[in-house]
Amino acid sequence: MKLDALSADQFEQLVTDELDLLPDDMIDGIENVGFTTASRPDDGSLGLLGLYTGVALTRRGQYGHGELPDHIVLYREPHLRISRDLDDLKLNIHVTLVHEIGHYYGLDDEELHKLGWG
Amino acid sequence: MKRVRVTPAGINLVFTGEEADLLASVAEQLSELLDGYEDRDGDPALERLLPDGYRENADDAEEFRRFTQTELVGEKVAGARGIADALKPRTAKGMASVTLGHPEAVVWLRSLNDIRLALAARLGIVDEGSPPPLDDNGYAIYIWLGQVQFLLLRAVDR
Repeated sequence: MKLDALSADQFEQLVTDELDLLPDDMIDGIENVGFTTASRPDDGSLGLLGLYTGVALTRRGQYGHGELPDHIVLYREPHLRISRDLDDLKLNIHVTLVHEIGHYYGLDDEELHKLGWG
Repeated sequence: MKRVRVTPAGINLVFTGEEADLLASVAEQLSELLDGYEDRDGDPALERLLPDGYRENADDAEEFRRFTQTELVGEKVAGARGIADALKPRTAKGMASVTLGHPEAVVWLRSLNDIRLALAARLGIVDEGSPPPLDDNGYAIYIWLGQVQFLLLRAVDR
């Protein structure tokens, strides 16, 4: 399959599958997080693979009073651009998910990079 | 609420067993409250959910009520029961995982809002300036319902 032809639905399915494949330890600690996909970042660029918005667990005060839920979005076109084939795409989606979930747990970009997660 | 995600099959919501029990219970309470709406004049939660159509004229308001309310109440009761029913099955890990198509997700949004309005009326929350209620538990549930609404709305509106 040519990756260029991968539809929004197919990308959504891959993200769903990769989320299901993440280790329980990583998923079980997640509270109040929304996962969505979009074709590109709001600025239309292709350089950003995913985005976490929210207040990381390590920076929270009294949880549950007034904070909006966290959100992780994965961008389809930037992933397609850097992926050679379907397996590579799956690996890249996996890395992006771990990276963004890492932010949720309070790791910053530098720490995640050192650990090999993007 | 553990997580909400958008899948090709619909919007998937995952709750812990405890959260699912809680949401099912407040949904049941809403349907019971609405079932008895004819006998409960002056209940603040019902007034919030079923406001008068004509505030100036009691007769017009009564007529408007007669023609529109049965259907409206029926829809609200069905929506709340739908939530309670959907939350009953549990996964192997004791979670409730519900996948909603777009029309169902919209019904859930309406119903979550009804539950939140009824709770707000009970807690005395009228607008953003209302003081935090004394009932901490009720207030925590109110905030939590808002977060569920927020996550679901963003998934519907992506």
